[in-house]
Amino acid sequence: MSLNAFDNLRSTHPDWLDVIAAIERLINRTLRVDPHAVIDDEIITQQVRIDPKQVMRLLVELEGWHALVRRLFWLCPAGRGTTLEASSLQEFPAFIECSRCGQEHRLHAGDVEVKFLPSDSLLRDVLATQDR
Amino acid sequence: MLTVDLLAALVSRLKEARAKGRLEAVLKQIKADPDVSKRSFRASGTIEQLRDAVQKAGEQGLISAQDLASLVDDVEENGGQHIFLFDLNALGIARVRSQEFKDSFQRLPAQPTPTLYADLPNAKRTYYIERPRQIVVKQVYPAEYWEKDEDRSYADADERVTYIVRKQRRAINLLLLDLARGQAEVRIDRVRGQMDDGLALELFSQFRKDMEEAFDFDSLTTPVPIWQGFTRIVSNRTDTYMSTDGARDASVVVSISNRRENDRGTDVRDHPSYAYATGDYARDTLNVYWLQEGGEKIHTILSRVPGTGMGKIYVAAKLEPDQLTNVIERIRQSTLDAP
Repeated sequence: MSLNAFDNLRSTHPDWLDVIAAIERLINRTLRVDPHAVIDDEIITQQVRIDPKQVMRLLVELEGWHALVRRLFWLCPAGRGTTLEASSLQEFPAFIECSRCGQEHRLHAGDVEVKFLPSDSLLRDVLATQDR
Repeated sequence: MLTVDLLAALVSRLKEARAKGRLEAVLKQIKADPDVSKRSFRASGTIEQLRDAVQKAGEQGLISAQDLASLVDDVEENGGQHIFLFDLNALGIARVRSQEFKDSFQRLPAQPTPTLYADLPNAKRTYYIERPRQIVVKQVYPAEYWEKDEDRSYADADERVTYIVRKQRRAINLLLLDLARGQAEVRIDRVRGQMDDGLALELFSQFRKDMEEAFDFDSLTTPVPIWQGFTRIVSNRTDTYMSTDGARDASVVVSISNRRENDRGTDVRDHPSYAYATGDYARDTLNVYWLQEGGEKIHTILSRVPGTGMGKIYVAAKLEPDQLTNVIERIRQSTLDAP
C-alpha cells in the first residue's frame, strides 16, 4: 500500500516513479522497525543509489507535504550520537553538558547536522499500512 | 529564626542549584492546608518573588529556618555529584561508633546560620551529623578549579590566545555511613557544570586526606567494584534504558549510540545489531538511565577508576533523596548479584 504523501510526490513527478517507490519502501521499512528513526538523506543515497540532489529535493518536498519534519541534531564530538535536538539553530544553547559523554561542548556549526523526522501523520500512515 | 541574611543565603543556594521547582512545591504544600489563606503568599514566580513568599510564610510561622535549610540540604546533598561506594569492615564499624571519631569533627550548629549557607564559605568546615539511619560527615568548603574564559579568549588571523582562569565556588562533600548495613558512600561535589573526572578524583583524594586521622579508608573499607555489575545492568531490561554503549571483547571495540537526544530514541539494546549484553564484553564506563515509577528516567555514568579498585557513579541532575538512594541501591545490588 502506498503512503499518502508519496502519492502526492508521484502526481508531481510522474517521471520519477521508480525513485519515489524506492524511497517510499525504504522510509516505510525504517519506520516500521523504529518509529523514532531519523530519516537520513545520506543513508537513502547509499542504499538506493540515487543522485543525492534528487533525494534531498524529494525529502524537502515531503516536508512540504507535512510527511517529514526538519530537525537539527547537535552531535556529540566524542562520537556518542546526538546530544541535543532542535528545530532551529537559535534554540541551541552556546554550551551544553553532554548526556552522552559527560563533557561540556561548545556549539560549533560543524557539529550540527540537518536531517528529518517523520511527522505524526506519516507515522500514522505507516502504521495503517502495516495493519492492512 | 529566619533572618533576612539567612533567607537570602538559603534562597540563593536553591537558585544556584536550579531548585526553584522544589521551593515552589514546598510553598504549594503549605498553601494546601485549608487553614492557610490562599492569598497569604504566592507559590510560584521568579526566585525573588519566591523569596518574598517564603519571608511572608515565615512571618506567619508556616515555614521555619530549619524547614528551608533542610530543603537546601536535600538539594545540595543529592545529585550533581561523583559517588564512590564502599563496604565497611568490622574495624570500620567500630571506628565510626567510637567517641574519638565523633570528636574529630565539628558539630553542626543547632540552628542554620548565614555562614553555613554562604555563597562562598570562608574556610573548609567538616561536620558530624547523626540522622535516623545514617551517620553523615559533611564538608562545606570553597572549591577551586581552572576554566577557559570564553569571553576573553580569541583566535584571529595572526594570533590565538586562550585565557584559563581560576574559579571558586561553594562545594559540599559527604561521607554517608550506614552501620546497620555496613556500607559507606562518598559523594564529591561535581563543582563544574560537566563531568570532570580529573577534578573529581583530585577532590576525592583531598577529602580522604582531610579525613585521614579520623577515618582511614584503606584499613576500614573495601571499595565496591561496581564495574563487576556492568554486564548485569546491561542485561537488566526492566529497570534501565540505554541511549549509548561502548564495549570491547578480545577482538573488537564497539560503540553504538542512538540518533535521538537524551532518552527520546530507541534503546540501543533493541537495535537488531546489538549483541553486547553478554559477559564476553567488558566496559570501562556505562551510560545508563534508571527507570522510575511514573516513567521518569535518572541518568548516570558509571565508570571504573583505573588502578584504584574503585568505581565512580556520576549523577549530573539534582534528585530527591529517595530517588538517589534507590538508584545507588540498584547499582549495589547489580554488583552483589554479579556472577
